[in-house]
Amino acid sequence: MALLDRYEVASTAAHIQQHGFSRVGLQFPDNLLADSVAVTSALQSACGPGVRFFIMADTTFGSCCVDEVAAAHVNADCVVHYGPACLSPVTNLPAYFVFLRTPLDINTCGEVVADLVAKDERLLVLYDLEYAHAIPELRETVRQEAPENSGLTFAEIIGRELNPCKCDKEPILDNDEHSIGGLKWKGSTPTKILWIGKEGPALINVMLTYNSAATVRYDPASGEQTSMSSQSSTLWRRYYLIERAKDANIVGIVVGTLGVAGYKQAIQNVKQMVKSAGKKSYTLAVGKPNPAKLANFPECDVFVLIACPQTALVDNKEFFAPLLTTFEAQLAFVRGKQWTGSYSLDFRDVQLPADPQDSTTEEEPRFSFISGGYVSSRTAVDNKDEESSGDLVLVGSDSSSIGTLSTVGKSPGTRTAADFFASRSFQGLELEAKSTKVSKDGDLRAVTGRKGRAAVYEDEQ
Amino acid sequence: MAKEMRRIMDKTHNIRNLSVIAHVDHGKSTLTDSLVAAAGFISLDNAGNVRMTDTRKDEVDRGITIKSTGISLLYTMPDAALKDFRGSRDGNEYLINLVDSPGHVDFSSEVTAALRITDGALVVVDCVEGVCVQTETVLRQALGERIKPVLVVNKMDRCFLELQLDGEEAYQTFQRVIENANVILSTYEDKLLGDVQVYPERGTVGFGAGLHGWGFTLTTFAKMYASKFKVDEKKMVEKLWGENYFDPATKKWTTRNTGSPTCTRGFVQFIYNPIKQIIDIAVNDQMDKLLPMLQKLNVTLKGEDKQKSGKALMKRVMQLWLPASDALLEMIIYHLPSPVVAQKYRVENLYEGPLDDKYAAAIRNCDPKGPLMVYVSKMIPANDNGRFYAFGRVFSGTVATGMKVRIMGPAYVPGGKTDLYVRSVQRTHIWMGKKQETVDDVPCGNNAAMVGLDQFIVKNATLTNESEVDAHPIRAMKFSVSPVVRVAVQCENAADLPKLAEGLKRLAKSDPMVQCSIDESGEHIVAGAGELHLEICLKDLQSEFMQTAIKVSDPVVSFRETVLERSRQVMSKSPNKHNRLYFEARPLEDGLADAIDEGRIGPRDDPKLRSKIMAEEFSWDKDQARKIWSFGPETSGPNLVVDACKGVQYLNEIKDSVVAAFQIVSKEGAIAGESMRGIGFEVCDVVLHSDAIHRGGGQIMPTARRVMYAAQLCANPRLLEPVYLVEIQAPEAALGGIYSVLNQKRGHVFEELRRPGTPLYSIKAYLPVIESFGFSTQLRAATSGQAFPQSVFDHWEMVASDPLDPASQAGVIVAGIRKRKGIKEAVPPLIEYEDHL
Repeated sequence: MALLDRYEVASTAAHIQQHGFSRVGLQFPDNLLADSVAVTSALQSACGPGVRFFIMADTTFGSCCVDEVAAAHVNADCVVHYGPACLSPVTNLPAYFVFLRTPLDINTCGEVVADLVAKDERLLVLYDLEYAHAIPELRETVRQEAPENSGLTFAEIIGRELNPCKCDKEPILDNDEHSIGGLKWKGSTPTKILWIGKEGPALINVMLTYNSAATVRYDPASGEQTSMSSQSSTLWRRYYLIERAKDANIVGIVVGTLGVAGYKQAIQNVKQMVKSAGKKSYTLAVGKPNPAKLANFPECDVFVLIACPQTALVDNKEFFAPLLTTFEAQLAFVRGKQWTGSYSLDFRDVQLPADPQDSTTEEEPRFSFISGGYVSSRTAVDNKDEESSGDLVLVGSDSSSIGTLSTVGKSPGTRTAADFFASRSFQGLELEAKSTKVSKDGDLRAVTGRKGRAAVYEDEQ
Repeated sequence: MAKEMRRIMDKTHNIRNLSVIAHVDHGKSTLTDSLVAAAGFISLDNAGNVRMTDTRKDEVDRGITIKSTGISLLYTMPDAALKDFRGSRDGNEYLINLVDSPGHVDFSSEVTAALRITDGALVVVDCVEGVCVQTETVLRQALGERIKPVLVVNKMDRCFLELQLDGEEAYQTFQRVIENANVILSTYEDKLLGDVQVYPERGTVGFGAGLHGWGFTLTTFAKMYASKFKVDEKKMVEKLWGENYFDPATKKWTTRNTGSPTCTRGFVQFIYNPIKQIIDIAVNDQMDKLLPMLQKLNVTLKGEDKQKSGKALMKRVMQLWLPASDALLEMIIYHLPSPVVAQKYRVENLYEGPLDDKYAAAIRNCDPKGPLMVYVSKMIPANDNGRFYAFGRVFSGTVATGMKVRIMGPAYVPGGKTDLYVRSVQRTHIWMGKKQETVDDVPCGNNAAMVGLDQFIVKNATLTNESEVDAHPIRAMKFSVSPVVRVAVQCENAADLPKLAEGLKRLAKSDPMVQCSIDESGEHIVAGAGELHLEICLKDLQSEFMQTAIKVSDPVVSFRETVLERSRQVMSKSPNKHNRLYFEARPLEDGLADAIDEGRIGPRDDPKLRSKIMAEEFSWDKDQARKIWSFGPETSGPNLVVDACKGVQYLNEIKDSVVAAFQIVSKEGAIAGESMRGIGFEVCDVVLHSDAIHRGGGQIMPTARRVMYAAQLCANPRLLEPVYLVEIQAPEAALGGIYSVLNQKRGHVFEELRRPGTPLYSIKAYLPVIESFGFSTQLRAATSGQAFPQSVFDHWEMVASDPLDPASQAGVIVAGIRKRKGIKEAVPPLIEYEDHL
């Protein structure tokens, strides 16, 4: 049956039995959820009753990553991940990836490759992982049609299964070895890339990382070949956001993954960067970030999203404050770093500078292109003051004054969430005496609250 | 030299700080040369040609002043010249700190910076072209800063040589110039400054020809005749101006023209005609007639001067007879205030803090021993290594090399920590035109250039002693022009980006007006007052501050979004569907947006006072006026959000969220992402969930934004474009060309005047800024170089067509803006923002 073939039930079952897993989480992206029951029952019958399967849906973060949190809920010892994946290293659980084979017309595609190779000396072929199965065959075909060409490189996938890293650090790649989005190859930085597959975050990731390379996309579904426009406008937009972030006083670190190996280190790194830049950071976990969720933190001037390379890039004007990637945070918060065109979406590429503090002790203000003036970067001297400013909480503000609160025009003195709170005109519910039930002997009693759905509570019906 | 000067700098009564201001090409820099020559910096021969204060190569090439340049000059006055001086003085030595300023409107900000550090102004007006648009602008600015003016009617030589005016015609021309200037001066009269109108008979008007280095006041002639006719000098002065006629036949003075052919006006008889005679004789090389006449006037020509002929001879004769510097110095010393005098009335304009504190007192008394108060009005690039001098006026105390100063930037709020630095002054200099001299310290009443502060000051700042933590800053300067023309600059490759950023930073410092920023799409933007201003800035950026080629986009003009009529009530639901906001948008009353821009109405006003003004001038309901939640964008812009609901629960809780959303909405409108102007949003009703958790900021902010966009789209939105006021002076022959160019550019002429007594026409027109690029070049081409426009931003004008119709003119503009900003080209439809029950 085609479905079972597509979902590679046989090889999956073999993998499970070989490793002796007994509780297996099957992670489906939302669009494949319809097939989940059929796949599970097929796997169940293939593996026998000794193995329990759990269907995991509605992933906490991006569906391209292994959802280790959900797997931990069912106490799984292995996750089988279906659909598009970023193949980011996992923290705790071994994972097995099924990319859902999609047929590739080897001959047509081979012609496209041959054509491009004829035009250009050097070509790197990258692809959506669903076509990985057909790549060896494609390589053979091209090799037969065209003479051996040293400029042509096919990337390989780094593996079907991932095991938790022992160490936080990535094995150091050779200088001429590259790895991105689950693909790896040897050779110098590409100048021309052929992408076989759809447009999507995986392609964006490649194009931003190798932003000086020309990229051609071949869509096997339609057989069309399109030359992708350069990502420079995206990069310039990110540059603007970095400049905005430099002016920020309060940074929200949004945890966008609880699975990708090294995320804890990355959070620490960002915290450290923010701190040494003299700014205040707050760490938030809100699941998949959306404008409404992050609007609950209006005190944050900027957010840093720590997530896998394919979900880290969020540029949506609906958000009230920009979301930066870890790499961008480094450009914004580490003094002396300047953007010169290179880019990375992988937070593991970001390391703290060897000496976090600049050796010059003098506090030199920075020119801000957002405000057009100098902005002082606060150093240790001011951190002392900040601690004492905790007392400012609940200082009443003049309610007759006109609100001057805004994410863009926040008063320059706002350096912590407490400052921000003090500047709000509304500072929370006033618990009036009458609404708090006090029993006769004078102590507070917990009382039963309202029940039902938020739309209409039972007492509102 | 520097030591000499330093000595006089302590004698505050003997200091005059003045700026030379005028319309472009009315002869400021040439007139300045006369003063410089008299101080011995340049030879008399060169006076009028060197333009000592035009220090940049492009200033010399273009023949216009671009940057204001300071120069300190030292004079020892003869006793005779000071015998009538009644003010305080300390010896006969005078120090004149002179700032020459540009006349082109695009560089008005330089004038503002110059006015701040001076107490008096030498207003120069071309006697033929008369009072022009920029004369008016600078006069208005000068009076706003409480700068006392004296007037110089310049280019007299044109009357004699070019136009061959007879005496009475010339008198009428001069009289008109003075009257026009006085009309402006009286409009902006300020009680503390007293009567600032100028009168020839009081010595506050001088006449001159800067190019030839001669000039006079009525006193100059009165003195000559007083000794000759043995009459009182004062009486003589009065006879030399106004309705005083002399008939040589009867030797009688009358106050009207008797009609007798020999009866002539005093001015003509005793001043104009003698000058005309000498000039005619000198130009025609009639040495035999000239020498005896000169003898009578106590003028002796030296050996080599006798060899001169024609205009060179005339120039030398006139320079010797009526040296411009004498007349100018008399006007400056007698009629412009010393710092001691000026700071008494300027203090309340200058100081932001309470006027009874010790800083105000020190400024008022110009106290060199008091606390230091320095206003840095501009940054001047040093010749090497990208450093800058901080150039400013010492208002009190003494600034010295090695001194630690507290630097209060424009964003500093007393008591706060923002924009506040402490740094040592590495060196102090005084400015001498093309070079600087190091001095140990500079006392109050003088200008100083300081080294070592440039990393902390972008454009201006207030300096005080390190220990003076209670000092308030000196008020920021108010510019008469705004940066309405923008270009995007890019470097060829991203690796040069740090260089570009550094270059822009320096550019931002070097000019009081230019703004360097980054826009939403990550492009570096340079904004200036006009095409010429931008051209100069970009040239500086490339050749001075970067030394790398850059790509410059076509000029971009920012638009504003507004609405035409009141919208219906629109509603949006929060993401969780538990909250509903009902809003309306309406155009603000005529003039309200302007009042907010001018700062007459603002967020920091007393609410009671504000509601009174709103009720009286803009017929607002008083209660409504008290329920203004916020101004925006940037919490001070010309848009409002007002609470118009009655008895709604939890409304106070969502105010912060609505205001935050309003700030974003008013900064980026729904039509083209441009700032809004003149839109009032009314919160009509809100339905909120009874649980606080379901009506938090996360639910309200996005909803408020959507509902305000929906209201804007429903209120018949329109675009506003910036419009220049253009003034062009040209001879009649050029009018045809001017009109045709203006027509092509959507300009419309609203005034055409012939300047009486001259062949010139003065045309005033409105011209959309977006059409102004290349305007002056085209105009020059169409009029064979006879017409020069002066454009200054005037107002916002509505683009008549509907921006929501993609085929209309406004629609095309909107599509262009959206494309440039990298947002979807079509304006989002209403359903994206509005919800239904």
